Amino acid sequence: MDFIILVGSSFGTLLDPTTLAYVVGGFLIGTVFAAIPGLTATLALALLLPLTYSLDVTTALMACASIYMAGMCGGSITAITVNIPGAPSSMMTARDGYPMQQQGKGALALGHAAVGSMLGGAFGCLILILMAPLVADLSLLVQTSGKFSLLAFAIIVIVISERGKVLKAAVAACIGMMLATMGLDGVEPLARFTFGLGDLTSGIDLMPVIIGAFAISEILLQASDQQTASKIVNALRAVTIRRRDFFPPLSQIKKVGLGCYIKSSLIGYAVGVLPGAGGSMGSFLAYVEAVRTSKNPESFGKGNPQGIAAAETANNAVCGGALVPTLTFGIPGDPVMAIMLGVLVINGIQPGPQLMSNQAHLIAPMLAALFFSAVVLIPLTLYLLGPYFVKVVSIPRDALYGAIALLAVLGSYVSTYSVFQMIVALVMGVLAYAMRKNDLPIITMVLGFILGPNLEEFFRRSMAISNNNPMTFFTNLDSLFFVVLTLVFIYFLCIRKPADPASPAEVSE
Amino acid sequence: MILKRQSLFPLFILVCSIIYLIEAIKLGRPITAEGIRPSFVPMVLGSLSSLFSLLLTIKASGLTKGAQTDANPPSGERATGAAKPLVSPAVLTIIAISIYIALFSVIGYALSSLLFVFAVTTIFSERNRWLHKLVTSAAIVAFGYIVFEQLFGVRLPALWG
Repeated sequence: MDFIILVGSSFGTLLDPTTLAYVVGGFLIGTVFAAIPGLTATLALALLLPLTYSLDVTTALMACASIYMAGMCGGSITAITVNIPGAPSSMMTARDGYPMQQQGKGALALGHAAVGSMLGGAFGCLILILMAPLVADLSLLVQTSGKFSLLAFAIIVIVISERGKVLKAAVAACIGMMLATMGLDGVEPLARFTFGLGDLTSGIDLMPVIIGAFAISEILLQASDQQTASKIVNALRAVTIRRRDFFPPLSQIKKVGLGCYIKSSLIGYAVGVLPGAGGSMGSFLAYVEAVRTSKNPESFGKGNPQGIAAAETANNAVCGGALVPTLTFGIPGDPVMAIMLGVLVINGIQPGPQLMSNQAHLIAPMLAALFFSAVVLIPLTLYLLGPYFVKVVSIPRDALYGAIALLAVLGSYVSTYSVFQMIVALVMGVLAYAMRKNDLPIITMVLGFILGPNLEEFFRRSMAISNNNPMTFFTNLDSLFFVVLTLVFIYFLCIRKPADPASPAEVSE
Repeated sequence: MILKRQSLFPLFILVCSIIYLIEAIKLGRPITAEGIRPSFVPMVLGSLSSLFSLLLTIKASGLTKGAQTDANPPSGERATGAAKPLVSPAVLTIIAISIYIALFSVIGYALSSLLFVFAVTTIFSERNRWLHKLVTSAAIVAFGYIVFEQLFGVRLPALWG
């Protein structure tokens, strides 16, 4: 109850004009980046991450939360208008949104997406705020061997959830974890894999890895695929959106039904809690559930507003769920969470079971900002600026990528004032670019890099505590729980074939 | 066996994994009477990575027959009908970033950034309107200076002092 009161009182933080400016500014940046195909909220956060060094950690986290929420809803605009999702999480929105646009009901589709985003974001955030104290108490029950099993569970689930490319994901996870072993050993004073480079003794920082993986690799990809971008810009020039398009009539919202919103929110939240699942998976599962329970399933994919509502509600509800493993165990659920974890770490805050109880005053304002973004900023921003987001896509690409390239390379310098970090960011960028060209998931690599050091530390500590008896992972109940959970996920994701074979990727085609 | 293009990257990862594994072995015994040593986890990771990347290399090499019917070529490699540039824009961007990093602390933020942004804007557009590109680049560099140095207090290198 104390935590809920603390979150409630944290809304007062938003009355500070500077903090409010960062939250609103973050939301606008997130929406613009999500609206432009090729750019994502992840890229926006990666570019802004270095600037959080000079910000108060509470303000930085609040700005990050608003970027995250904005990123989940901004992608629906281009998904509906030109059938090109601005963000991967809006993939399912395009399935019914674009047919509606073709039928002359584009305005209604945009409205359903806006309402779904708002309700999903708010529901997900409320569940998070209500459940957070309970989750924090439960997380205290997990001891050293349990933490190892939990991290192993997270990495295994992240890998096997990459349907159709599990082997590639396994390679990506190994690359991330191997990179994380560079530098001084966490337990003994021994330098590993420095190859004679003094700068590598302290290891590779998270900052250049994030900037390289998400920003520089994106610039390289966009540089090699310029014709597609030109086609998108040309298609968007023909689209006109009005302010009122973002607000559907109440009768239309009633048609979708409160049940659809609540169910999709719960699905989105639950998916957000799982490591590696993210907004795309949340919207996909909610969409499938909407189709399954519909009286008129054949209308989906042909312009059914329920499909848009389910997908957008779920992907915004993911925001609340994804914060659970990030804050309580330091396990980021998706790329944005990985960067938010970076914000915590570079400010000297170690996520874990103690965070919610000992430093709740830092977390509560972030949840308040997340709720504020969903309930106030989504409708307000879409009403005031929605029509202009489509125009933003027409910004000359040379200027856009010139600015992004400068921010990315410069951003890797500011953390340590070291040119070496710029070189690391470039190397990571080239590696991530090569991985993306070869269809290896870079998020798996980044999560491997983030989780690897803790995985090794908890493994060695568990073994030391148990006199090197590996049975400790099966005899301790907390650890056994996650071992069994891992097996359950392996069964459902790898062994048992799903009833509906369509994957999100297939459905989007 | 002639290696296909798709197998080059997995092969590169395989070579890196083997080098990593050799370095891990050089760190010493993985388990001693004192317990798990710093080489244990790297040895496991190196072995797993070598195994997975070997499987991936074999799988990619086996695509030879299916390559002609591959409906989903990697992004950026779609047939566009346009003439391919001599050097890929991605490679040019990598070269531009490398030169920028080399010059950054030598000639300072302003000049190196101006050259860098100008190079990137040129890569991302047609080779015309040079003055426009120069003005745009100068504006972006000024924006970067205001954001980093003035707004967030980051000390950027200067040509003098």
